[in-house]
Amino acid sequence: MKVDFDKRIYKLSAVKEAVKDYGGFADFTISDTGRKIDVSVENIDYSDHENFIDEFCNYVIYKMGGK
Amino acid sequence: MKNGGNGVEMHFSTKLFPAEAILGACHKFLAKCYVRVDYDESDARKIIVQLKPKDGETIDNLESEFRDEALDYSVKLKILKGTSRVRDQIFHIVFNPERISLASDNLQTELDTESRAEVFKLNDKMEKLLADIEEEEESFDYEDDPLGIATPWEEKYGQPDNILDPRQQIEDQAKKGLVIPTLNGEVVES
Repeated sequence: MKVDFDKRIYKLSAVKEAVKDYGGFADFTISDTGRKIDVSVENIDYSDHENFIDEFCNYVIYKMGGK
Repeated sequence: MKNGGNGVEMHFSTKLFPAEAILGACHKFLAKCYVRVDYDESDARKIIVQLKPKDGETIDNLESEFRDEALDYSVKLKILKGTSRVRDQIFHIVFNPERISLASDNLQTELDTESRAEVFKLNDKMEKLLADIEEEEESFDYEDDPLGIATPWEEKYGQPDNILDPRQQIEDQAKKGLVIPTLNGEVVES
């Protein structure tokens, strides 16, 4: 599954921190594609994958709170 | 970003609502919604917010609540930016190193003068107290005993009537079986 974050809204550091914290539940790959930060999520260790991605996106916003 | 159904999608103009304000509002909805924020791909001046209520949360009033929150954050940010120069000036005045140094010097001088006066006052009081104590001491003789502390008990109250000879005491106790008379007798004898 793939999810992207616009760099005009999100900071790379916040995405990286979220990936680090969620690292134990799935395999994440971050790639910087100029205007967006693409995050590829595989091997999700959770039955509801969509819910997992939703929670991850919320967590990135939460991490943006301190930025 | 795309969000599966059951949610609300809102579009905000970046002219009125800066991305920071939208993100601030999103932060408030994290507990009850799954939130996605992105720029509109067809119009870069628009931000799209998608809210999907979590289990147990309803979609009712979600949009209006979010719009209120976004507006609130937007106004706060504008006020914050508009007053930043005044705030900086206040901080500069309050925390200016030269001013702080001058103020601390003045404070030190004030403290010094005040503390000196206090010391003088304390010295005067101490001297007066010492003089009083000396006067009192001079008026008394150490052989005087106004409270009769040095007078022996017998002189004050006389001999008690029921005072017993130690042997008599042991004999009384032996009758009650409290002591062995032979052993205690030796002790009394010695």
